[in-house]
Amino acid sequence: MPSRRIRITIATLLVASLTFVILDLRGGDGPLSSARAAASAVVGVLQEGVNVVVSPFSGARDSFSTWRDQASQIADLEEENAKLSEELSATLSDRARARALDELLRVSSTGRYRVTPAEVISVGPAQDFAWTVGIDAGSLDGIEKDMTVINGAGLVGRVLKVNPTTSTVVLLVDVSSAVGGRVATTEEIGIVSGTGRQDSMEFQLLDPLAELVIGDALVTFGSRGGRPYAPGIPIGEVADITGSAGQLARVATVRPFVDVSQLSVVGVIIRPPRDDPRDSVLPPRDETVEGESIDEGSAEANADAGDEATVDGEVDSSDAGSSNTNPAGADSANGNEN
Amino acid sequence: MVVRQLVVIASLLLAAVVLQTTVLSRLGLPGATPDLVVVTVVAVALALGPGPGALTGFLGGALLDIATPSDAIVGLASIVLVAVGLAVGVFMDREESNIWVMSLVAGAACGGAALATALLSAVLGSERIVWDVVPGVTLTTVLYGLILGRVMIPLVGLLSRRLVPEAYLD
Repeated sequence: MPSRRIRITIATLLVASLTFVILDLRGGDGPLSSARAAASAVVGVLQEGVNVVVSPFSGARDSFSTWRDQASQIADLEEENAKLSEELSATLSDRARARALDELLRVSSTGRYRVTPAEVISVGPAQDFAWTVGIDAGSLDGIEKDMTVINGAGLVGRVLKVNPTTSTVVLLVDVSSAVGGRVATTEEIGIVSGTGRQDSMEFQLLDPLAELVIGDALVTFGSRGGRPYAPGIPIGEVADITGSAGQLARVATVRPFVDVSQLSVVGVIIRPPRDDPRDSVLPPRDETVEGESIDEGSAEANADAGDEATVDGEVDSSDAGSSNTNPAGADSANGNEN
Repeated sequence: MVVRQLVVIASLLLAAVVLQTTVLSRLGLPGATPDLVVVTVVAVALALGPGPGALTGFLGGALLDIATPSDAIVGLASIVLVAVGLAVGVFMDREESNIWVMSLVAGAACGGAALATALLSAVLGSERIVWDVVPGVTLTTVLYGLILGRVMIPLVGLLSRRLVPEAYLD
């Protein structure tokens, strides 16, 4: 058996750990906040350093991320081919980062969110069953608790803890995440909750008789003051529905737009938009729509915008998006007050 | 001598935590993330005994809770890792020199730590545990612990022999 000295050491350590547990369960910041700030600053610097070495390899995966449909993929590939022959000197990771930032800029300008970009420098271990990541922006960069985090594809999560130079973000697929969502086509409202699984979330409509079809896209409804969720951010699309309209047990499975296992560049929404962007930030759907009617919903504006990923497409989509937010925005300005 | 031990343990833990959250988590391996911190605790307990092993467990758990993105209850990892360091230090035969047996111990410690953390979190009220994923996570963490142990235990043994020879048990 271990000696007396060792037994005293063990007892002391266990008592200290139990004290931490009790203090944490009691709630509040606790006496550890200054130790936390110091330790997270040191570890954050190390994590950023390792990230500089590691990110070229994860960046290579990002540059082949999802595009929306075949036609735009071909056009993108042709334009990418042209770009490649011009820009042979640019490194792979710089280009991937530039694309991720481009996508983020497109989303933030279409929806008129004021965004601070940040990079994911650490990922919480899977054994925790908590989907959390660390980003390299903190309170010194203007980040506060409960701000929305997005990337070029849509909603990523919200800020959980803030340190001076780093922050912890809890992702939308985490079990503790519940986002107010709105169906893009029918404007029905419900709650999207994370299930702890990477590619499926649960959507519960407020109105049990509302229509819902597979393929419907969901955007955030928006919380008061834009915290914790700003309005109009794409969440995901409905992948499966069990039960029929009217059944209380009807549950829709939603596949998020964001690939949470491949996060690199994200943006933290510092200030939500003045008007609700409604559906203008959603990527275009597959169906082709004739005519240029902009008095209808934004789904058509998105289809008219065409290719999102080409340079020309970006200019068109942001024009169509912003021209559409005004009439819709005026309507929703009152709704947004609630 | 105690200060030197503390410095060696602290540097090992810092490297383990940073590598685990930046490199190992982003590899996208199936199932659990390879748990470098638990393997470090096991390696230190095997090289320096149950006292330093338990201290490594406490500091490792505190570092994980404070300095990494996690929403877990603060102090839970410390309790589990202190128990791991103590158990390995006490029950492992010092004359055991077969590296595969020691790697197996590292793998078993990873699996035990993952299960214990899940159970304790559930008991303390956390609702995040997805129970049908737990067997897969436990199995993969044992496997990764085995592989990491094969690498880390000799490495830590070598470092202890060189840097803190008076404390090294053999």
